[in-house]
Amino acid sequence: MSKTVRNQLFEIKSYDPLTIILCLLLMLTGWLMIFASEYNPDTFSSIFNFEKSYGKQLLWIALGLLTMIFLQFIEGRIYQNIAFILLGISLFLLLAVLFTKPVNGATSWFDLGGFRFQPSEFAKTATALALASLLSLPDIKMQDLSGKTQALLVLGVPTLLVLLQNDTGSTLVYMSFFLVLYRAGFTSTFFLAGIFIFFLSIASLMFDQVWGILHIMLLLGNFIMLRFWKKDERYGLAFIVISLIIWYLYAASIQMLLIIQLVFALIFITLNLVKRNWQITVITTAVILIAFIYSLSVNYLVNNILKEHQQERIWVWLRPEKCDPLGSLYNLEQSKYAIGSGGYFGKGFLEGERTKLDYVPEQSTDFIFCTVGEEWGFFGSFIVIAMFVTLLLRILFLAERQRFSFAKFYAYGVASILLFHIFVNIGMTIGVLPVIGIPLPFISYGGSSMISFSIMVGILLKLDSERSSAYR
Amino acid sequence: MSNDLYQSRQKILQAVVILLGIILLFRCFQLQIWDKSYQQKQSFRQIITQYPSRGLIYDRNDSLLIYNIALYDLQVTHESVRRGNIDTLKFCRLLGISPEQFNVNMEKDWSDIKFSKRKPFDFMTKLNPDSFARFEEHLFEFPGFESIIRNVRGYPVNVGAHFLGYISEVTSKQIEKNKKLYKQGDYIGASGLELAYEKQLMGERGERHVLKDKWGKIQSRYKGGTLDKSAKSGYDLVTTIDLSLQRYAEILMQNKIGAVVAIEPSTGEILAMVSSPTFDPTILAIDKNRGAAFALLAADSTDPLFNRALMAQYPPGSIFKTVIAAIGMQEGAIKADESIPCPGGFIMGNLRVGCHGHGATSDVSSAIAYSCNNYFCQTYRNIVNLYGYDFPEKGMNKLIEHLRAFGLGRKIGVDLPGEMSGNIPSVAYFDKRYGKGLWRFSNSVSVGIGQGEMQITPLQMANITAIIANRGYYYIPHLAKEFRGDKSDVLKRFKEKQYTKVHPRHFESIIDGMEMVVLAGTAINAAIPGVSVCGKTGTVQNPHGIDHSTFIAFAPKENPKIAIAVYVENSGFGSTFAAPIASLIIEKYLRKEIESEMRKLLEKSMIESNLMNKWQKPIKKPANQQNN
Repeated sequence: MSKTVRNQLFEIKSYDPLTIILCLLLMLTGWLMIFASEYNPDTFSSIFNFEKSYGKQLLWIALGLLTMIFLQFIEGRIYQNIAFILLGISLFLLLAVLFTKPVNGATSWFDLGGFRFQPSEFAKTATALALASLLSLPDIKMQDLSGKTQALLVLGVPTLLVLLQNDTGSTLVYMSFFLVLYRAGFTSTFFLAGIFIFFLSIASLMFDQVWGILHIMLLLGNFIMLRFWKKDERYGLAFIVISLIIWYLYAASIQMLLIIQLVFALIFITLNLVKRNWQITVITTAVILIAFIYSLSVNYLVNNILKEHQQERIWVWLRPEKCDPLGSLYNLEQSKYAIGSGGYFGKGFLEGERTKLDYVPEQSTDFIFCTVGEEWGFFGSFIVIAMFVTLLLRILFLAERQRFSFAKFYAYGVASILLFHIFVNIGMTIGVLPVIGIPLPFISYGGSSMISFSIMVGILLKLDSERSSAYR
Repeated sequence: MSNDLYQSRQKILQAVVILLGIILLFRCFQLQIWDKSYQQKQSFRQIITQYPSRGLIYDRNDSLLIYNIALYDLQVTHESVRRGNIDTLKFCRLLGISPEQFNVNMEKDWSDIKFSKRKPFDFMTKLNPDSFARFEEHLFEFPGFESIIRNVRGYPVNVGAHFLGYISEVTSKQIEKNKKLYKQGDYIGASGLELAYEKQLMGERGERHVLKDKWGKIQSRYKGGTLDKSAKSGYDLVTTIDLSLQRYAEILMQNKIGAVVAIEPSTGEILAMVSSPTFDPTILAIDKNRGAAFALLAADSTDPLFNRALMAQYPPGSIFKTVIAAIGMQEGAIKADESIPCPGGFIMGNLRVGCHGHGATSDVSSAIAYSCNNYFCQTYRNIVNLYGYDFPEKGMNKLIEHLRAFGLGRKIGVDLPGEMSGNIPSVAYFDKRYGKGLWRFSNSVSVGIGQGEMQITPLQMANITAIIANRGYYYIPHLAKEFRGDKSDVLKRFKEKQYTKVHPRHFESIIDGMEMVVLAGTAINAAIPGVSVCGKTGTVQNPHGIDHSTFIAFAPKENPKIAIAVYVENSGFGSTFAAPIASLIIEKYLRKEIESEMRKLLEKSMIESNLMNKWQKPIKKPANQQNN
């Protein structure tokens, strides 16, 4: 017993202080923001008022930290062996939860006497572990079809079960694991195509058909061009991603981009005609044709397959000018106003009246970033985003310094999930992405998410702390 | 781990993290620093709808028929009031409501998604300007409340309720159909011209984008007002109605049941359109008592809401003989100078259509002057038997073709909703009734004198009159003369001549006959000294009570200025009521007043006579007409 304790104390030095400090800071920030959004001088008694969400959040933070500490007593390497057992348990819980009573239309929660337990939160960690475990097997190669199939299976089953729960936000989180697969060597064409389909959908939905299709076809031409260029894949990818992002952010100066694309496309077509490269011509035509049909059908898909509130969110995101400012657009507008009204340094702690006066919905959970923006201004937004980016880069750094690929891929899994949560949550409050109800890690109010992120990071810290001991 | 082929990808993933971070920061920068429109401290954006004023309606001489009155809707945002801590007692005193009423109006069913504590909803509606003015001065003391002006209709003169129509609150069905145009609480044309020209009259709603502070007070314009749209008022409608003539016709028709339609033959413009009994349009104007007034009108057995001028389908009676004569001459079924002696009726076997004693019917003119039943039954027979006795279908089809060209058996296309098509005989109808090939002209001979299967509306009667006055053509009768400032061509169809299939020369003998009707025939009391009036009486047999009286006329003979049809239910002979009323309207229109003392007496007796006690509610026959 005493030996173990000494061992632990000794190994404290091998923990990564930056990650720990960042997590603690984020938790503190989150608590302050929850306090600010709920604080009312007339009724305030004590921060330990467990009737209020700031009081409860203190409990969750404590519980989260305890969980993290507890995890340090479990040897990290056993996760690699029990990963699939954990996944199995998660899948069982995901299946079982489907038979509970729906809350707000989604069957995602077990109601355990006042405390709601959401299995999909924990299934994320289990999936990350299982995926890492699979990828670290020596005979699994992402270049092989069987490797790909097994990886997709590990991802696909939990995703499908979460989808059945009617919980769109959590389902989309599972998409982030594709970043892990990318790092493991999954075909990059697949990702390019994915990015492409994403922007193709946006373009088709955002613009009236003629314009949209024109852009899509030219962008596609460029994409194929760059694929066949093949000199250096990374530059091609960077070019496409950057041009798409510029294009999306500056939809107004679209003609400029169009001309550039047109020039590229013309050069490419001329080159191929001169070389009489028929194969490329055929593939190009086929891809353009498929994209053409897809872009025509995506409007139909959105209008007929998606549920009404989902459609609404998409239109609010891409076509705000067509939405009713007092109807569907109201929440997002209020959110933007709250953040925008912060200016450089914000209105000051506890002074954010827009968030406090309930103009912003869900101001302590999904829309907590509004309070950051309003009370601390651009300065605060910058700090919070910078903390998250630093945390993510640090985790990526930790990942690359691992000697075991299990730990490496698990770290990538954690980074991917965090990245998705952060980007989507902050993105939706400022209108970069549609409203998808997922929490901001360590900041949003809520027990399930706090504990699940604590577990995720706790295991990561443990694995990282053992990185050197492995060879001892 | 040297076997990692994808080392380079860690850089890409790092780049992705940084890039996404930059995107978020960039957007925050945009919202919080760059784009000033999101930074108005303590303000939020709201769109205030600007309601356009509805187009006014004038008569042909620029007298106002409909104008706008402002009513106020008071809207409230629950949350702002709760925070604003207003003086409720003062508020209630100013509005004249009780505090209990205040609470009732404030509390809605919050579980209903229609209501939100943070969005404005109706607190009180349709407040009239007099009582609201006092309150509006204090409106600023009551954050959370705002007023919306709505235009409702006012009527300077109480005429023309039927064709003017009314407006009403838009239904949820109509909103569903036209989400962009209407919102809950808007008004929409519900009948008459208000409905027919809703698009032109309604105008275009405007929007004002404003920023309000947290108490709901307007602070500034959003983006300097660049997104604002000013409201565009609806186009003013100049109608073809002659207000003084309309009023005069309504007075003449009071206490009688029936309809009057007067048309200017050279343009198709409707000068007057009366459906009696009528009602005061003011009582259907939007205010609190409208529902009760409407219920009362709807329950009235004389059906005052029913526009008889274009919805009542009457047998035309003898006035139809003019049309049969024209078609008969065109088809050679009869010649203008053909003499047919009258043996006291049309007799064929045991079929007998009686006639009354009259002078010799030596030609079409005298037959019309004496309204000889036999003459026109013969003409009808000749038309149906044009292709032989055993082929009445072919003759019948020819007749139908002509009748439709005269605007009968179909909607003429007047610019009012609810027009009926009337009924004319059809081959299919006789085939069904008697069996294919088993019927002959004799089964329908009463059509020749405007009875039997014939049903036409007063509007169609007036249109026939205009056709005769024009010697063979008409313009689609209409009420809209001009939309001031409108450049679209909604009224183009009223500028095109519609020809019948009868040659102009065939009308001369008919017109001569109609002149004789007034000078020496069945309608001597319709004569106006110094004006050559051409008319034709009709007495429509009514199996359920006293006959209906009808009269069509136009004047002057050579250069017709007015064509008119008058139909008075249960008033006996055409000459007793319909003819004098028509002639008085004609004189009033041509001379602006009634000249001779004799005719002033006639005018007085027409105005004073009351036929209401003779009136019987028509028994609704099962519809045997085809609608087309």
